[in-house]
Amino acid sequence: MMSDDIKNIWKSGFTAENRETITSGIDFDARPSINLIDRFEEKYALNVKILFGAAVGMPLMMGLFDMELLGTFLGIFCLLNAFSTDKYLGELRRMDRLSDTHSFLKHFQTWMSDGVRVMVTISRFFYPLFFVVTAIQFWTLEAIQEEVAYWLAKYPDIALINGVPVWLLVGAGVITVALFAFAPKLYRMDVKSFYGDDGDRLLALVSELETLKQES
Amino acid sequence: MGQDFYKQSILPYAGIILKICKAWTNSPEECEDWVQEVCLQIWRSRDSFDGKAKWSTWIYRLTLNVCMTNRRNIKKDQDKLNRLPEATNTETNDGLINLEIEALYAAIRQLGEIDRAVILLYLEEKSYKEIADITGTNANNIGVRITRIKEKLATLLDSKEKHVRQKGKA
Repeated sequence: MMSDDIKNIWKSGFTAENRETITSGIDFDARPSINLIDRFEEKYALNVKILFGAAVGMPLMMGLFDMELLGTFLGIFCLLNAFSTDKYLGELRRMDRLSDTHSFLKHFQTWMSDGVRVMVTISRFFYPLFFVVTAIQFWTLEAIQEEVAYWLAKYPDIALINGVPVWLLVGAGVITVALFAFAPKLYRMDVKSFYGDDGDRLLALVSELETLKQES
Repeated sequence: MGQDFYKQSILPYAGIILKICKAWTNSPEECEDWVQEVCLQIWRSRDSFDGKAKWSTWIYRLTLNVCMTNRRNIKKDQDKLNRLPEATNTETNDGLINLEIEALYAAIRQLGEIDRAVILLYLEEKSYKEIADITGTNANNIGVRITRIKEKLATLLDSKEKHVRQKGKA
């Protein structure tokens, strides 16, 4: 019978495998991991450090260029992002690699998709807000004000609202709305380029295991 | 790493780890990397073992979980050519056995990842309940799945046999 054949092949096929040569003499404390989860842990741990650094550095740096508003906005954003990423990293570190395959893959896949969902929501508001704050910051710069005054003097008939040319407000409005609409798509493209096909693959594996898990 | 831990808890199971990793990659270098990765994960997770399951069950679970989440060499992974291994010496019994086991591995690698996990555990003579415990599935569904997998393997191995005969005639 087929099952006896393959079982016999399996049993007789393994003699003196070179197990020991593969596993001995390796410093496991120093060996870097090639596992996906460990790679994510390293990346997110580094991100947390960079974000905390930026939360302090951005306001200081922007202050040197008289852009305190933008610096404060970016500092607050980086700080909140740092805390959020740290919490997210903690969930990854608590992932139980010893659980059964279904629980393990489902946990990991849920972690990935939850993270993407949160960041997509954040990006929808962050990119437009970043643009608006940057625009306001630049508008208040002395050099820009001088330039605007020159053009207003040259074209005195330009329609203004609170001293701001209407066409500029309309343009800024269009960009803001476009960023609000397209930011999630842009973010997902970014994520896809980072995660590659791992996300889709994990989803497919989890789905298949759930089929096997259903009561028959 | 503690030599005692290595000798008692990893080395006796290195064969199981190697068998499972070979089902995920046909590259000897990558297989070696993956076996070492599993051993690394065992070392790191050793304090988490709570004794509720057998140590060997724990090893199977960890190995499968690591194989499914290891970074893989995409180019090699996409190379789905079911190349037959080089027949180094088919005149001796050992040569024939090597060819058969490599052919079986090549067929197993053609299966989906879940099917691979299930059939490997079946070949390791795990019961349906043990297979369900390790994979987190339902023992009732495992039996049906194994039957389908064996049919797939039979088809794959038959086509290999024909290929070998044709090569011999050429």
